[in-house]
Amino acid sequence: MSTVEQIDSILQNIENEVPSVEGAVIASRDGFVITHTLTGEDAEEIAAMVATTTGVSERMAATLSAGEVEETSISAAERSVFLYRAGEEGVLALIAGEDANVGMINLQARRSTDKIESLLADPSTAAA
Amino acid sequence: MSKLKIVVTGPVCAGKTTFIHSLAESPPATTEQRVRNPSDKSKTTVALDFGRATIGGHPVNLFGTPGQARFHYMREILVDGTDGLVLLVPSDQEDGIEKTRKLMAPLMAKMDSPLVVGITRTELAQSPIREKIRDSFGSRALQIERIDARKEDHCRCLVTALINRR
Repeated sequence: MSTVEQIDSILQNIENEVPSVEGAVIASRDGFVITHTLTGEDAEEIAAMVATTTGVSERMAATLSAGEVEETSISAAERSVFLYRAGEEGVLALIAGEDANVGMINLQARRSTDKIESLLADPSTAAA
Repeated sequence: MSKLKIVVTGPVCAGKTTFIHSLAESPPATTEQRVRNPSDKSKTTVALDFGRATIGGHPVNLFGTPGQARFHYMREILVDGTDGLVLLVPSDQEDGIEKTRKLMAPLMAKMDSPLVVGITRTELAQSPIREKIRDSFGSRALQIERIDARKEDHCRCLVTALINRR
């Protein structure tokens, strides 16, 4: 199984464990799609925004001497987005529906980001 | 005196972050991230740069945009309410002017604030880019200058032109 396939199976597992998660994107920190499960949205555009939002979050945390950012979230009326750092290379973005169980999403995301981090450190994903 | 909002934009590797570093009174807030597949640079701006300066007696807030096409929405957000736009065009990229036109088209359509153009990285290539810039932006640009974004006086001159003719 290729590295990207292994990451895809981690994303699939999150969606299975937390049904309110409707889609996931792994973005590189400079704004490219590494892999995603979106069907209706433009993953390339979302990946760029994931990098932008993460960049601002980290900058704001640094300005406030707040330490490392664990999670960035956007709660909107109909959907929510949760962003988690996945090592030096990537960001995991989870898009959830109205009935999102934030605790479950956080738990699953944190279980997954370590695995994603080690997979992303594999140079074969660099061209993805 | 009210603060002026000046936005610095242009394609990737034009020197936007450098320009803000040159003018900012204290170290600017930047959002550079490491490039995953480095080609010509190792870090890139993903959101914005922010720095404060005083130019011609005016307090100025400087906002730098990302340069890549995929960050178009950040440019649209940042130009909102701007008092003037500094466009940096790198002269050492063959498609620099084409990238600049594409990047500027949505901004030109929605803003009517004044514009100045800095031609950068001129030591790396001597291309006849000024004519092309004049053809593309001449009717909107107050001034088109060759500059070195690392030099404070060059950057200051360009912003001064923008402020004075506002």
